[in-house]
Amino acid sequence: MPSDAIRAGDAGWTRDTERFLNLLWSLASRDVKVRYKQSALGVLWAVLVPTAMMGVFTFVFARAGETWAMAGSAPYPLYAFVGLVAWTYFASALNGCVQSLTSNRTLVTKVYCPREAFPLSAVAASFVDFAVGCGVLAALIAWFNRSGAWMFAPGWRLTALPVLVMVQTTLTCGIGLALAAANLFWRDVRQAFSVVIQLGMFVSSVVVPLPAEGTAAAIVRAVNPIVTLMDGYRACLLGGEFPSPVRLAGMVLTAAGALVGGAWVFRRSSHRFAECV
Amino acid sequence: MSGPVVRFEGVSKRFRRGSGARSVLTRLMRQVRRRGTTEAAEEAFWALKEVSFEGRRGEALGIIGPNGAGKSTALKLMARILRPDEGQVHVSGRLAALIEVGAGFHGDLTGRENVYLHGAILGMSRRQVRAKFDDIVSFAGVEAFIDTPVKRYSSGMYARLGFSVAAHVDPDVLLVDEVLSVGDAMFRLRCIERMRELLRGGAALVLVTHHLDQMHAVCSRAVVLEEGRVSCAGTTEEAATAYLRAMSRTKAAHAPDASTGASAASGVAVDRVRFLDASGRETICASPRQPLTVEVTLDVTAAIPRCVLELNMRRRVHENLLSFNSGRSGRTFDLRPGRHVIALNLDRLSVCGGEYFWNVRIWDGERTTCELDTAFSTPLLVAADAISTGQWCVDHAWGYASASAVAREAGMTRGAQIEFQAGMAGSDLRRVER
Repeated sequence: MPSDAIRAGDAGWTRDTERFLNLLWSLASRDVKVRYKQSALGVLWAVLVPTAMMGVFTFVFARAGETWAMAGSAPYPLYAFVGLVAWTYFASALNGCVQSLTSNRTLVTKVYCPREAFPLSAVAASFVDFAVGCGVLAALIAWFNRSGAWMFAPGWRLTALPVLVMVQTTLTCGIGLALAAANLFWRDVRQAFSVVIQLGMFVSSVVVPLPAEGTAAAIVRAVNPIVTLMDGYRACLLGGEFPSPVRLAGMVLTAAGALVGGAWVFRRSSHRFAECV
Repeated sequence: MSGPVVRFEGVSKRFRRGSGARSVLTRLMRQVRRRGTTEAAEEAFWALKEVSFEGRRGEALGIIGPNGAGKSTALKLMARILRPDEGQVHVSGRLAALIEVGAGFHGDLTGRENVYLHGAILGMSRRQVRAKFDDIVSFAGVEAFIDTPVKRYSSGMYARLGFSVAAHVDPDVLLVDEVLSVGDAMFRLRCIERMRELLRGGAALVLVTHHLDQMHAVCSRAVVLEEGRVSCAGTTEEAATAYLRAMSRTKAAHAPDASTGASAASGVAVDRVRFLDASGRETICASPRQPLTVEVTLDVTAAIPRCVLELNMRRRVHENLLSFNSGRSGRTFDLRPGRHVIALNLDRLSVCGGEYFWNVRIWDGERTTCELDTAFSTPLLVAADAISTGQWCVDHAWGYASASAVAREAGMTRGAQIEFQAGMAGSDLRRVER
């Protein structure tokens, strides 16, 4: 029976975890550093990109007037910004995951380290941009409040934010692990992913809310956990109603299921990575 | 504590030949083009077949073998990069693998950042890297460039830093694959010294190499892999001989067409060069201290009445270890058009184990022009010698050279003694004058 029995030696479980987290941290900080090396504006891009996107979508949709109404009470730029920051975290993390094993080919074939670190560090690297985006978001909310155009203090609702972020991260890691493994065997995944993610943006109420009524919208709302996430973020930061407990429970279960499934797929196929990459 | 740290038990690893996954379109096209004929299934081959060996604590195991014998596959199995299809690989303790130096380096990051990154990849904590940072950098000798992106490093600096990080992981098992071919001679020596240091510290070392002298320098035992199987396991001497014989077999299988040095301009070409042992049998693997005959077959199209033949042997570039010129021995050959065989007889081959290369030069003795000068491409393998491990095997004898010599040394004058010591220690001579 094939096996690779490795005695842990003096290193116990905590030491291994510490090493893994250190590896994760090192790979993620490599990705972040490399992304902004030799660029004049550096990390400022993490602020500029979502802000510019917000500007674009405000220009496209807000002039129509009706979107303001669709967005509820909150100003459309804020509505769009919340959606964009969360969506960008999701999409860029997955994009990093898809290519994480193929772009680290030399590491996969020449060095042994826990392979989960590659997709997970891609998620961590995108989280840095997400955190910067959240800072900008906080500033925007404060600015809108001061200008008097719109008054809202999140208060207790903010406690839901870390939970939502955790759920999103769990979901992303699960899908990311599966995609990373799949793309190693079939490079088609990368092509398909770029199409799917574009499409996904418009069925996840990122910049345009789903219609309140209609069976199509109801189905999307039921099966797409991102819609629930977006609704949750907005309820928490911009006011409005939280999604129903059933939808919230569905979202959490989907995320947990994705993580378990993704990790299983990744584990099962990881022994063939070095041969097939 | 001397139990095996690395153990292979009947390990086999299978790979597939062929291009791997093919696109649906290509497959469809092929099916349309040759309807009915099914494509041959992708052929599987065994990179390793039932390989067993073990490496112990404080011991360096060499793995040698011709290209494609499965050495790197074995190393990757040890490093857990690959998983065996059959058998078991046991590795106990912490393992650091140097399969490609600086594999984890990112060109845009500075040397410092890369040291931390590579350390993390090899399983060190930040604290451990910080504690050893200065040692790592000074070992690699890149202090002045540590805050420069490694993409601006020379390939030598890059490789040195890569080796340095891995050598400071303090592994229980260190796997090294051919990396010592990088860096200059000084760095290679330091690498060997560092490996010995790790061995003294109780680590196990597995070294994959083509260089027999490197294996001799570090390893105590070695395994020879041939076509995925262990053909010899034993001392480095035994392994070196088995390796050279294996090489001669593969060389004999591939026709030595490289030895022909046909030159259109001159009227002579080397048909072949072959080596004959004491009993007159053709061989590519000679034994030291034994007679050897070098036989050159020439195809002559334009007559050279006073031909001078020169045969040279080298180990590496630049320098001839042996050079035989028939003219200097007062011998010329009258070569008319046709085929000629000229033999050079050596009473005793006085070089030791290794791979050597021969060339052929032909001079026109009358016009003193060089008619032919082939490349150093005819290989001759020489088996390891039981007595000598240097480059040469020179007849020698040991004896006790009488006690008086020692007494004379002890009886040196006091002043001379001080001078002698000072000279030995390279210390200040003024102390002696005073």
